[in-house]
Amino acid sequence: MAKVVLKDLTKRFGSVVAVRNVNLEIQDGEFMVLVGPSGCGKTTALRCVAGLEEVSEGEIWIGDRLVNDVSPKDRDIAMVFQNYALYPHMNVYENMAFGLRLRLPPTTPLAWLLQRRAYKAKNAEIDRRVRQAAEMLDLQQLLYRRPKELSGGQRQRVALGRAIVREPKVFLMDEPLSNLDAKLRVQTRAELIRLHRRLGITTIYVTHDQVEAMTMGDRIAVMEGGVIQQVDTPLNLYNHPVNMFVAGFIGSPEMNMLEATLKRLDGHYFVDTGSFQVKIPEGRAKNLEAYVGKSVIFGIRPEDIYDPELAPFSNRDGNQVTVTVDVIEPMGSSLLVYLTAGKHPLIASCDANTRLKENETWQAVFDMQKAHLFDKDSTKAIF
Amino acid sequence: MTRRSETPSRAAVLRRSDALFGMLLNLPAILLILALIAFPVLYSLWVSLLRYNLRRPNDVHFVGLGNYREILTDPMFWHALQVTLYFAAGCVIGTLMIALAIALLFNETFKGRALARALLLVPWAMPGVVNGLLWRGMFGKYGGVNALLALFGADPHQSWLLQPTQALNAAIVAQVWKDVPFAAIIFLAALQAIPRDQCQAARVDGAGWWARLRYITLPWLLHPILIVVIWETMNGFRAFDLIFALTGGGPGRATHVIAWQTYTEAFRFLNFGAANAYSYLIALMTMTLSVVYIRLLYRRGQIQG
Repeated sequence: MAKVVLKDLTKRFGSVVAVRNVNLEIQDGEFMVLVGPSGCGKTTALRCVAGLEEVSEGEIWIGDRLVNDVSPKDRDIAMVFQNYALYPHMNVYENMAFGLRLRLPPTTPLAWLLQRRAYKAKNAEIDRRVRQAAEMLDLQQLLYRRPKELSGGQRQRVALGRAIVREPKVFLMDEPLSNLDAKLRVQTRAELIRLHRRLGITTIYVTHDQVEAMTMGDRIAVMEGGVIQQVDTPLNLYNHPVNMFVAGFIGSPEMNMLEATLKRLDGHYFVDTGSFQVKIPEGRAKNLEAYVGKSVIFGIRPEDIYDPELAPFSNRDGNQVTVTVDVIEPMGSSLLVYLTAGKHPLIASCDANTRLKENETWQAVFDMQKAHLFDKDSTKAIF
Repeated sequence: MTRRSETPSRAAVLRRSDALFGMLLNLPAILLILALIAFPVLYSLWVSLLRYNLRRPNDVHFVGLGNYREILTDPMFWHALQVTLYFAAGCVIGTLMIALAIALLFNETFKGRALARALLLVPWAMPGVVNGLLWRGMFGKYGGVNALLALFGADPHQSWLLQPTQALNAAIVAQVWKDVPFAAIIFLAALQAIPRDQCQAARVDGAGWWARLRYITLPWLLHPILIVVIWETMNGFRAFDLIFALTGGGPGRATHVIAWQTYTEAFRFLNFGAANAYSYLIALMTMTLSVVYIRLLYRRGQIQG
C-alpha cells in the first residue's frame, strides 16, 4: 500500500497536450476516481502512472519512490484493462498466476534439483494466493477454463483476480465496467467497493460515467481538456462545483443553466433570466456587488425544483416561477418533467406524487438555497 | 396412366434454369482445371504404375507397385532422402529463426521502416534459378562470401561448393535467403494482429522482453509458425531449381536431394515410370509431415475467438 503523488504531470503526443500540469495526491488506501468526458486525458494520466506512457514533464511518486524512469514491471502496480486483456492461450488459473510466476527466480534444471524444496514452497504460495483470490471472486469452478469460454462478467472477475493476487501497492483500473451490461455493472460496482474495503489497496479508477464516480470514489478528480477541474468528495462536488463544467458533468439529469443578469432592488439581489426573476436568499448574497448589472449563469439542479405543496421548505419569497409543462416522463420513483419558462427550457425531477398535466401551466418552486451562480466569462462559481 | 396435371411452378423452372446457367458459366473454368490439374495428376499416377522407359519405347507395360518397390530398395533413394531431410530441416530452422527475428525488428517503429519492408521482399521476387546462379557467384572462389570472411582473417580461397558438407549448407543458405521474406511477412502480419493491451498487461504483470516473447508473442504466433513450417518443409522437399543452378546435385552426391533424384530419373535416365513414382512419394511424405505438424501445433495455437 502506498500513497501516489502526481506533481505537475504533463503528457504530450507530438503537439497535442493530453494531460496538462496535473497535481494530485492520492492517499494511502484511498479510492480515487478520475472522471471526465472521453478525450479528457484521464486514461492517459492513468497510463502514465502505470508506466505505459512516458511522462513528458513532472513527477510521479508511488510510496516514497520517484517512478518516472521505473519500468511498469518494477512499479509494483496492477492494472485492470477496459477489455480485460486476458491472455487467451492461458486458462483462468494461469492468467492469475502469470504475474506471480514471473517473479520466481529463473529455473535451470540444476537449480531446480538443488533447491527443489524452496521452489515447491514458492509454488505452493502462488497456488494459495490464486485460490484465495478465486474464492474471493467466486471463480473456483472456472479455474481451468480458457477466457473464451467465459461470459463478460466472468472475464471481468478474472481480470480483477489477476490484479488481486499480485497484492500490489496500487490498483489501476481503466473503465473496468464499461463492457458489462447495465445490471451486471451495478452489481460489480458494489463488489468492487466491497473488495476495496476489504483489501484497502490504493486504487485509481478511471471512468467516464459520473454515476460510477459518485458511487465508488472516496474522492473524485473531474478532468476536462487534460486539466483537473476539481478534486473533492462526491457530495462536495455535487453541492459545491467550482465551475460550470463540473456543475454540468456531475449530476443526472444535468443541472439547468440559464444566462441571466444580476440585479439589485431595495437591497435584495435578484437573478433575471428574461423569462423569470428569482431572489437570492439573504444568507447567500455575499460579494455580489461586482456582478450587479452583468451577465451571469444561473444554475438550478432538476432535483431542486419542487411543487409548492410538496416542497420541504416553506419559504415562498421570490422563488416561484410560472412554467409550462411540456412532457412528463414517469421514472417510477420520480417524474422527469420538461418545462418551458418563457423562452427557457428546463428539466425538473419531481416527486412521483406531484400532480401535473402536460401542456398546463404550473407554479414551480426553486430551492434557492441550493441554486448556483457562475461568472459567465471565467465559468467559475460565484456560489 | 394418369398425366400429372400440375406443371412445375414458374419459380421452380427459373430456379432450375438458374442453376443450369450457373453451371454453364463455370464450365470453362472447370474444364480448364480438369485439363491442367486433374488429368496430369491422375495420368502421372497411372504412369507411376507402368514400366515406362523411353529408352525402350516398345516395352511399356503395367507393373503395379513395381516402381515403388524398386525405389524403396534403391540405396540412392535413401541417400537422397537423408540429404533432403537435412536440407529441409536446415531450411525450416533457418527460415523460422531469421524470419522471426526480422519480423520482430520490423514490428518496431523506426525511421525508414516502410522502405525496409519493401526491400525485404526483393529476394522473394527472384526466380529459383536466378537465386541459384546468384549464390553460385557468392560462394565461388572469388565470391562475396570469401571476401566477407577475409575481413575476419579467414582463408579467402575456399571453394564452398566443392566441399560436400559445405555445399549442402550453402544450398540451405541460398534457400533460406529466398524464403525468409515471405515467412517474415507472414509473421509481421501476425504480430500486428496481437492486441496491444496483451503486451501492456504483461508488462504491468512484470514481464520483461524475453518473458513477453516467450509467454505472449510466441503463443500468439503458433499458427503462423505452423504455416511457415509446413510451407518451408514443402519447399525443402521440392527444391529443384536452386540445386539445378547451384550445384547440380554435386559435388559427388552431396546435394542430391530427392527432387533432383526425380529429375535425373526422368530426364537423364528417361525412366518416367520411376520418376512419377518418386513424385508421388514426395507428395506422400510432405503430406504425412504436414499432418504431424498440424496434430502437434494446430490445437495448441487456437487462441482467438
